[in-house]
Amino acid sequence: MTLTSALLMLLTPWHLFLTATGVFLGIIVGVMPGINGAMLIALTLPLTYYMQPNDAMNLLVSMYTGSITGGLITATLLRIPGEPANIMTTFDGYPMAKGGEAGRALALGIGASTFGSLFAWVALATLTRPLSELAVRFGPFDYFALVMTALVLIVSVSKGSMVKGLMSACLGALVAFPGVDQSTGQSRFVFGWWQMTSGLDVLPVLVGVFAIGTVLHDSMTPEEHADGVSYKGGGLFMKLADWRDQFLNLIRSSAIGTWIGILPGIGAGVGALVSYTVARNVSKTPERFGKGSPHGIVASEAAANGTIGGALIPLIAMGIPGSVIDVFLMGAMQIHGIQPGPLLFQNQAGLVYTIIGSCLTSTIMMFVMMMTMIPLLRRVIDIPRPLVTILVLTFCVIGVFAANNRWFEVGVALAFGVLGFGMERGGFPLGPFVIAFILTPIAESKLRSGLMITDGDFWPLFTQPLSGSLMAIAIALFLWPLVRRGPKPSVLTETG
Amino acid sequence: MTRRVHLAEALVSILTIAIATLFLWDARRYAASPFEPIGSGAVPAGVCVAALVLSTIMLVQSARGLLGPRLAEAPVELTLRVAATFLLTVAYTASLASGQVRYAFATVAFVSLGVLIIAEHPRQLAPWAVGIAFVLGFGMDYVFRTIFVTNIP
Repeated sequence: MTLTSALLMLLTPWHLFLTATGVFLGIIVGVMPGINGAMLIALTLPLTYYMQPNDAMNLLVSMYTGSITGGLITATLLRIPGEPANIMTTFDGYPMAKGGEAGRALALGIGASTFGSLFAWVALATLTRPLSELAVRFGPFDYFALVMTALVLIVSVSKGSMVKGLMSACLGALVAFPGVDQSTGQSRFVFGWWQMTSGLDVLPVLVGVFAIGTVLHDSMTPEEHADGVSYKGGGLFMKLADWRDQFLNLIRSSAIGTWIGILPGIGAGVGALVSYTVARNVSKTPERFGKGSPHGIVASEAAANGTIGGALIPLIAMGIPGSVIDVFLMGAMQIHGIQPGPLLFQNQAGLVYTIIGSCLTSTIMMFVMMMTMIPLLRRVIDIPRPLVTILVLTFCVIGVFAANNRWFEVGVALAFGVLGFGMERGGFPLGPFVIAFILTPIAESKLRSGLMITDGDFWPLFTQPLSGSLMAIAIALFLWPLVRRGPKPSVLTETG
Repeated sequence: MTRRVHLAEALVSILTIAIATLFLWDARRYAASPFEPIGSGAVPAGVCVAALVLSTIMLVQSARGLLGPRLAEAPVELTLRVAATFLLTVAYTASLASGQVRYAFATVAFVSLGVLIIAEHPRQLAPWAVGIAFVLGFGMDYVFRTIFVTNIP
């Protein structure tokens, strides 16, 4: 299968239905504070058991695209960011809407989101294959060092203290160990539970921590009620003058978003923050930022959407999730017995092109839906949160059970729900936990393969050019917060 | 940070210490083999040691916070509601797992009761809750049995 044939497949009625469903649901959860794209994808994972891998990935990628964009509506009209990625949009979108330019603010947001997504799609379509061909040449130590860098990077940009981030990563790694050791075939850390012989399944752990834990925690925070700006519809096409005025900003912000997306483990929230800061620093009128600057909306939204395509690059090329949502996409692939990584292009080219193609079709679908459904979508925020909480819990229980017909896994999901709730209450970031849970088995197997080659010698890990450089970066990233004086800047990943 | 946040920090730290200790103890059993230099227990043991060090630091920090000045807390009623909702979820799961209650009936009861427990103004939401409960109970039953052909309880 080629990219062209994948795109043709994605234009068939069934795939367009999946794209529309995914984008619509994504936008809905993007609009609603307290529910995010990761949670939606976690809840959808059980359904993907019953789907073909191509269908499943199309649906999930469409949800991803919709969820990043949907929050723009409430950020602009109600000053409530549906997703952390839209926080920066509230600074300028809401004042602009309040000043009587709601249509223009939304037009800038939608135009920038679409441009950012398309920019990143070009990068995804052109960079992924060369990068995967390069990654095929990685040795075990190179791969191990890459995973370590990804883990340290996600810990260093997560909210809260470094200790909490590292603890979260350690916990994620620990729960990945039970089951049969792939290197020796030895069963370990199962403590007599035969159900754990094949390890803790990805689905109950992710659903527990991300859906049950998060929804219970969010139901404890008071609902936000803001003075909304009325908007009846119309005026959602970005004007030619705005395109001209924002062109450089669009390119720069999309490039920043794509690059930050490529960096492992960092999501749309950081992309929007960095891009907004850069746009303000280079602006001739920085004083207008925060008071309704079109440049602020464009910078934030273009970068947030740029991270989508960017984050898919390391996932497809190297099997390293570019953001927390990508962990769930990786989980969906593993459910279908597909291991993302350098060999994915050789073994599952059709699936790769479906992912790349659905990134494009979902962007176009997102544009169409945002242009036509904003007055309706704005009302989604009025859905009472208790209803949403109970619905999510019901889907969690029945979804996890239906995946394997095992109540043990529902018990695991509930137990991890308690853990996720406790971690959220204590301010522990969940991103390092899920990324460590997914990446630890890869890291361990690569390290041990490398040690078998070197006969137990760790030294080449630090002396080989690529692994040595990556380990130096990982160590520097790890030590930097300890060396630097003063508090850690509040940079949020999409997991908070 | 409030006392409840410090309490959550302490509880997560204690849980981490418990898991890491248990894994570290179990890791002793997995010796290296002739063809594999470090064995199945070495990497987990390393992670356990790191987890123990970090969670001890966290436990000390949270203990200091718990002994520090008291800050305003969110109402305890909200915490109790969330705890009750979670216990209801456990009861819902247990009733389904027992095989004594059909999915549709258990779900109608769970959704109706759950919304009434967690909502601030349950009367306003009651009609919605019951309506959604029936749709979710009988609708999902139909979807899973006929479309996904899955044997739900």
